[in-house]
Amino acid sequence: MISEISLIEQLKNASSKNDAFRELVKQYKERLYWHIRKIVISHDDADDVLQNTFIKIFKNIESFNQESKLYSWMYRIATNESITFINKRAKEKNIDIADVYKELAGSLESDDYFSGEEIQLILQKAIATLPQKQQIVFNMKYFDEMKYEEISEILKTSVGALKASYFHAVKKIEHYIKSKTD
Amino acid sequence: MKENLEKSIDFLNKKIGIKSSFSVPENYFSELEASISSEISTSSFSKDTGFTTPNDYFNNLEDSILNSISAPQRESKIIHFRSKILKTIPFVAAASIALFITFIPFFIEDSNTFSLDSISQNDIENWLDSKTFSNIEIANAIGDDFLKLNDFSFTEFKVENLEDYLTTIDTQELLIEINN
Repeated sequence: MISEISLIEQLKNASSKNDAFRELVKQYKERLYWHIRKIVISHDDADDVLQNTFIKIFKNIESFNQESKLYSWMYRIATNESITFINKRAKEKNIDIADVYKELAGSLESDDYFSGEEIQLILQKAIATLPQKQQIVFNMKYFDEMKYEEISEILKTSVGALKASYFHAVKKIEHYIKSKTD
Repeated sequence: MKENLEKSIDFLNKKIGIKSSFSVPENYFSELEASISSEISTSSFSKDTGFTTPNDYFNNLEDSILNSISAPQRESKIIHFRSKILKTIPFVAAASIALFITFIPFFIEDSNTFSLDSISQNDIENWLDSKTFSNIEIANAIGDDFLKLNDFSFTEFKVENLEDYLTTIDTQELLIEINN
């Protein structure tokens, strides 16, 4: 595997950019896909957002100033693209963002690419009731098992605020699950 | 033995102090409770999201993304407003003439059959209420002999209407009219 520094150098060089980009996609495609998928829920939408994310990365790699790690920068683009997608969907349908999430979670039962059991469906529905930021923090901390420091670098939010978001998210999800299973 | 140990501990305490040199991150203990609580709560959740992808989705992804990047970006066609208008004008003019020729018999027919009786009372009242003409203009148009006092002889006025009229009328104007 090529080191991050070497990969960035190759990406910024016109002659090696395409090969380096293929390597970048190879290394990060799955991690970014699952990150996006947990935000936008449907596979088709995740595929669209992933493509847009990589196109944006390709077009803006020259402006990447290495103040943060490459993967943090890419995660940030993926997160912003996913949020933009959801917000756009809400605007198109003229409904609240919270209602978009409810719709998306509600459509999971008939989704060909969701094979979860009842409890996993309830968990997704519970996550869908959270404010957007709490959803993202919960997904990154719980499913991706990222450290608060990593999440902080990606979302540009303090560790303290992230801990508080996660704590509130967990409490709300727990309450939702109990109300649906008791 | 025990005395030696106590002496050694005293020596260390005097030299180093009882405090250890370990420290914890800021707010560690205040956040510990929430952190443990979250851990306990999430232990009952499933780590599996239940999401799946089509077969071989990730195998073909690099090619799919690279193709979309290398595909030539279509340049947006610039449409000049002036040329668009100039192109549209002949069609609009032709359509207008065709419409005019088609509907002119209806207009002519309508003008022949028009009479005051075909206008409803409401339309006339609405038109008068719209204040298109002033009272003076209407009075001049009607003329002095259009209405006579006898025309009102069978008209019944309700008491409340009269009261309304008397309370709303400008007394100055009424006095001027009476004097004239």
